[in-house]
Amino acid sequence: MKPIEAKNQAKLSWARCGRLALSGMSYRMLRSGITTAILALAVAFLVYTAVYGILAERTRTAAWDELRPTRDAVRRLSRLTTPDTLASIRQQLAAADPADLGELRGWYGGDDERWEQARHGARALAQTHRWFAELSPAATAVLLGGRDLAALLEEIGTADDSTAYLDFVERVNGLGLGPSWTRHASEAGDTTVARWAVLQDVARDVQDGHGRAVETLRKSHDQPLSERLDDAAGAEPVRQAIHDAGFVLDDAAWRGLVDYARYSNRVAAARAALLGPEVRQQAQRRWGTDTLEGAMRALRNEDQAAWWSAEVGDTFAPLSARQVAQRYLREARHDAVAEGYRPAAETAAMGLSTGTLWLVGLSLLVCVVGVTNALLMSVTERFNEIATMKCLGAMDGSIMRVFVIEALVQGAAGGAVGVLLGVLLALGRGGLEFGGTLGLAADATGRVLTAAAVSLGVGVLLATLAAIGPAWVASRLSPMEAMRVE
Amino acid sequence: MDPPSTPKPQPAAAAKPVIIRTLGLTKSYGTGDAATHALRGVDAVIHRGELVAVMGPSGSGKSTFFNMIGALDAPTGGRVLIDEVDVAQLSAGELAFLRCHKIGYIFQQYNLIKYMTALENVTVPMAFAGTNPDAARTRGMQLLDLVGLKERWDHRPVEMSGGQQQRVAIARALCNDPRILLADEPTANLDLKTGQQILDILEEINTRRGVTVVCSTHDHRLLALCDRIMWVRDGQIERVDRREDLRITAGSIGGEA
Repeated sequence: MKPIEAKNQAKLSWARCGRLALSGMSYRMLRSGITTAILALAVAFLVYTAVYGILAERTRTAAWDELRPTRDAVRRLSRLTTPDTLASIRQQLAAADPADLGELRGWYGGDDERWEQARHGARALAQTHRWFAELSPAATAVLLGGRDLAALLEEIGTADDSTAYLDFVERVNGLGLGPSWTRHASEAGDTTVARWAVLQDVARDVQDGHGRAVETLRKSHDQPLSERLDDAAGAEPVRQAIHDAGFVLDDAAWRGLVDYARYSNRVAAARAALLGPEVRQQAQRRWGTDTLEGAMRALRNEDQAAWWSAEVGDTFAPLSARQVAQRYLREARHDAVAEGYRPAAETAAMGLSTGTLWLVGLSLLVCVVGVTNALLMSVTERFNEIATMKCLGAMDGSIMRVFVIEALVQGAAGGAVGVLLGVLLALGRGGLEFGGTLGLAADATGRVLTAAAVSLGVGVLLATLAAIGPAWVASRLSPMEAMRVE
Repeated sequence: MDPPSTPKPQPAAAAKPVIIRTLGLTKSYGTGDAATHALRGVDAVIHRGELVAVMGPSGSGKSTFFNMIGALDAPTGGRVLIDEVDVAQLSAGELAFLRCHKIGYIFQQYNLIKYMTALENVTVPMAFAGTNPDAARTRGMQLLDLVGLKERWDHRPVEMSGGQQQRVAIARALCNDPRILLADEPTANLDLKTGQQILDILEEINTRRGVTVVCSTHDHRLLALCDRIMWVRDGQIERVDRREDLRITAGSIGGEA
């Protein structure tokens, strides 16, 4: 007989290792399934949070942008009908919007030096306001002694002696806010106090001028302004009247104003029509709802709009019922979106607030520990199997390959399911909360896909890292050492 | 009776070449005062084509000895020579090759892979050896036929009795035509009848195929089949008997187990 010769054993091919890994996994279906499910949950959570954040942020921004003309029009319309408050005039003086300033300057009509002083005062006042906004509520309460800031400034600014101001500065120092805070406060405060009287005088003059302008405007026509704006023939004289009254309106603002007036008149007409018991009954029968919101939903359909025109009359012309309904619904949603999400979205990057980020971080940590533990268990309980394989002549590398393939398959499967689940959940919640407005976030698809890909990668990496460690330890042991580990 | 301090040499077997040789083999588990000395200097010689029974009470070091000569565990001291090659000098790849091609192992616990069928279990070492899968299946079926399990090729270990599992393990041990078959208490978990079947298969492999078989056991029926018996006690080889000699002293064996 030939003597025994020892050659180097070859590593098992990837394909054969893959078959071994798969047959092992299908035998341990339940355990592999649970591991994959935990992984899927972790990835789903990650994807869901990221995608929902992206959608919420994008929808809010897009809706906000889209309805900017409407917002402007509402603001314009309100200024065309009632004199502004002193506070809003002070704000406009502090802002650098040339259109606003032109208007205010026109109504003021006083001397330039006082005007400039008032503007300085308004800017310093705005700075003071910002300074207070950054303070804690408790500190604000101590500084203002429970009063309104404007009231306090009024008191300080109009007092004959400076006791009230000195008292205020003392309280600022007493709070120990640090030199930069104190300097900041006293610089802005000094300017505000010094210019307060002028600022108030100028603001009152502007308010009076504004009031006179609105009065002139009102006298020039007996109809409500929004009805006049809606009248194609009567619109141009109205524009002239607005201009003559000292209001500044550029073309875009004018178009927005007319558009908004037209739209709100249509909505008002539809609402008035719905108030009649007859229409209400028909709407209830036909649509199952008799609210304005329900009617607007139904009217997006051309057939329903035709029915409405036949029964109620052409309340929407020259806009189509669909246009009005779409805009109504979008505006309603936009309000909800802006109300609910503006604060959250503004405070954090990617639409995630700090609180949510903490929650995400902690939950992910829990998931990571769970996944790692599940995979660790699945390797350690197979030390005996690894030892047997080594007795039968498996190379360390072959064993590693089997475990790496298994981890990759579980990571990829769990990751894919998780990504799908997370995206669906995020879309579902987004759909429920933003409705049709969600379509505005369509341009965020790239970001959503990136988030999904990154999460998938994280899942696969997590699974591989968690499995490779113990598998490496196991494959290094001598067969009997591995068999003794129980 | 006091055991002799060193085993007697076996002049009659000197004609055959030595396939396994151990020199001053020691193995300890743990360190310091807590250490257990499983082997305390074993010098053993096993010749090509022999069927050697390793006997001794539980905890005497049989299994440890078995693991050492199978290159499954590293000794604390001394050397293991397989075909006059020191196992300690082999690289990881060469060790894997040795375990895969040259030595077949049979364990007390069978150690089949749970998620594989009988045939898949038998073909695993052939996969490691790089045999073509179709050839491996054919050979696997032949070997299952040899151990009388051809009909149950697609049964998993849980669906088989202990004796059937052990026979699958034997088929697996034989698949790469090993020179040495190491069996660690192969009949310990089996009833008398199935145990006898296993022993018969081992003997047949030894006589028909000329495979060197080393079998540690409590089973006295093996004494009738083997060439030599190594009596192990307290990590040392107490004495080595040839079967022919044993017949003369058969009366004293009964008290040994």
